[in-house]
Amino acid sequence: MRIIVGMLWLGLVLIVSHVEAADALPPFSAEGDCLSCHRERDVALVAAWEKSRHAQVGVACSACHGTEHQGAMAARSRRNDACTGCHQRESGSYTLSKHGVIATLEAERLDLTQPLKEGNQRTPTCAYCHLHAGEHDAGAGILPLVSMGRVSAPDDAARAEARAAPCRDCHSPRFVDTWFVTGDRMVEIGRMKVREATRAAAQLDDQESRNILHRMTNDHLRNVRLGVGHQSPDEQWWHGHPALDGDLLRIKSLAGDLLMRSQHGASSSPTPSREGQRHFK
Amino acid sequence: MRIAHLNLVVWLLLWPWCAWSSGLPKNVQGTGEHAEHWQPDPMHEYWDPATYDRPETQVMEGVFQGEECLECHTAITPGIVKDWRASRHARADKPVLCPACHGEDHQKLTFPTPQTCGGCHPQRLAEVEEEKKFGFPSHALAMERAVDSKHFADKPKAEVASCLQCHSVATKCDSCHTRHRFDPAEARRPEACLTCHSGPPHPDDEAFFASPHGQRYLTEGNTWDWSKPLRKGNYQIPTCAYCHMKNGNHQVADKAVWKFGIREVNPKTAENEIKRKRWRETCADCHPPETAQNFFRELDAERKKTWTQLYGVERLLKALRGDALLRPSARERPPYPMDLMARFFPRERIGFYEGQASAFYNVSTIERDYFDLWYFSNLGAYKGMAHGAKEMSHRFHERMDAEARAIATTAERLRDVGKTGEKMDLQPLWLEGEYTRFNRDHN
Repeated sequence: MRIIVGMLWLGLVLIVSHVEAADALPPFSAEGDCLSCHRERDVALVAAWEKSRHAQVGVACSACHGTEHQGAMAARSRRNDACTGCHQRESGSYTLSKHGVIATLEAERLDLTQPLKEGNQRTPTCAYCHLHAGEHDAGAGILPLVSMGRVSAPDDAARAEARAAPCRDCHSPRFVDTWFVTGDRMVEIGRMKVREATRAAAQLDDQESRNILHRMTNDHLRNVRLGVGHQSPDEQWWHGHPALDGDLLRIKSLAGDLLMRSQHGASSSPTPSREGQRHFK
Repeated sequence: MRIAHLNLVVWLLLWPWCAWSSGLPKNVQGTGEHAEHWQPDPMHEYWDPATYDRPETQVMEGVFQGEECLECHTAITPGIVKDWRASRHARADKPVLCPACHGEDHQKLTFPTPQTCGGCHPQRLAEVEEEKKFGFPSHALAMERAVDSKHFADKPKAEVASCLQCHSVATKCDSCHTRHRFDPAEARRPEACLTCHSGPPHPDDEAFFASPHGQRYLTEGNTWDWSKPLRKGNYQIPTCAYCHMKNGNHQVADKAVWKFGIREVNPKTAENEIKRKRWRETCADCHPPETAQNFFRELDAERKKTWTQLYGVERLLKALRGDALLRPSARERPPYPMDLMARFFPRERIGFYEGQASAFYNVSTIERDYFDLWYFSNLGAYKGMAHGAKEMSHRFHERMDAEARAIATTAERLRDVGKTGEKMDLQPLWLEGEYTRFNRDHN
């Protein structure tokens, strides 16, 4: 009996010392250090990360988890500031959303040592949705918002399902589906404005119209998408649709000026002022 | 001209048919002044549950008491149950259980409306309702304000669904008291307001955080006890709710002098003097009377100067309109939304009193430039000044000056171009296009 208890005790000591030894590992600087162990220990996780856009652009373990192997590496990566260092542009829409407001006000009370699972946190942090259930192919299921009327392709259907999954942890399936029906349409209407402007600009060959078109796609349409994805009304509307409206009418004005010049040889024409373009993200 | 006439004829012929063919069941028609012109997008039901609520009948049948709800929902929706358990509703001597707000019959569950909450919180509901007598701006009138605006009725409903997430502050209480904790301590903090009170026409977030009050909140706010009521002596500095919802009063309109800054206001009317007195009493919680007096003097001067500038730019635009130099003209672009007269007598809208607030799209560049100056820069300057962020206000005034100069330059060029050559028809460019067509067909 003593021998058995002794063996168990020894086993326990060995396990604990092993864990301690792991915790006491020195800081890791090179990603190879992490991968040399975790490629074997967390096969699926590393494989998922390798498929991700993070891996393609060289964002590896320590960027989110830090270099101190002291058991807080998971909690650290669940904090919003693990992401916002790089994703500052995207974080504004989240911070102003109700999710983001609660995360700000309850930052000290959110227990991020708990896995990102339904019921563990009052509000989702970035990782909750974008690395849902620990999916290390970050954002695989969430981007992009599916276009209206093109949800039939299997890939799109799978994406539609994947992006709704984190929301359904807390919201009813009907609410989530409804949110995306309207949200997809809202984004598609933004795309219509971009396409209309692009067509209207077909004959234009000037830097101003190129700038406007670039801003439409890269800033203002993106704001609508971020606003829908992060539930920020401000980003959907003011930084989104009215901004796109302004772009579209400025492009049409430029196209109208060109028409008048080409038909009547008017010597000068009014160009859109750049002042009105500084109001939006 | 030809296309405008054709549109008119087609519109007159088709209108009865359109009205009939889009006749969805009565309960999914729009609401408000333009109700007959629009049907809500699906998400609308969540923003205005009293009007559009559609009980879920697919999931479950049966009638359940509170504890029975919790038995299932602790597993199905653990987050909601956990949140509720942390709320005062759960900790009350007689807990407020699920059916109190949602009903008992699972086939007929409803979303709570302000009236539902008012069943137990009648004073708060009465305060919110009282706002209506003060007119715009108001939380209680926010939904009407949204759906009655002409651009809301005109634009595709999925596009303007974005308006309703904020304007639903009139139709449900969880805009500020997030479900299912409904914690007053959360609603007292400035962040609770900023999901809606942010962005170009109302940068209240920027203004408050840039002010000395906001700076102090940013450094110390996390250490304060937010469970205390918004009363004198409980907080070192005021936050949004401290001033605008003094003593927890849910009526936020009785001190609203400047009407959001979008039109000129005489601050010296008898009514506004009464409102000013309320402000002075609020400031007097911490400051001597002169502080408030000086503050008002500066704010009045800032507003007067601003409106002198804005009216100057408006006159410039009206002169261009008088000389038919606004191109595309109102005849060459999609008709002004929801306006029958504008279909017969198209006219470019300039300034608040002509309703330009809905004419920020389908207009000429210079009109939109003025909209941006008036709606964004002016409001930034106002919000900064009104919240004690003078540097911010100054920055927006610099922007206003630059924009006003640019508009003047554009106006000169328009006059130059107007002298040369005959007018050509811009209708084909402005009345066609994917979004323009979609907008025409989907209001």
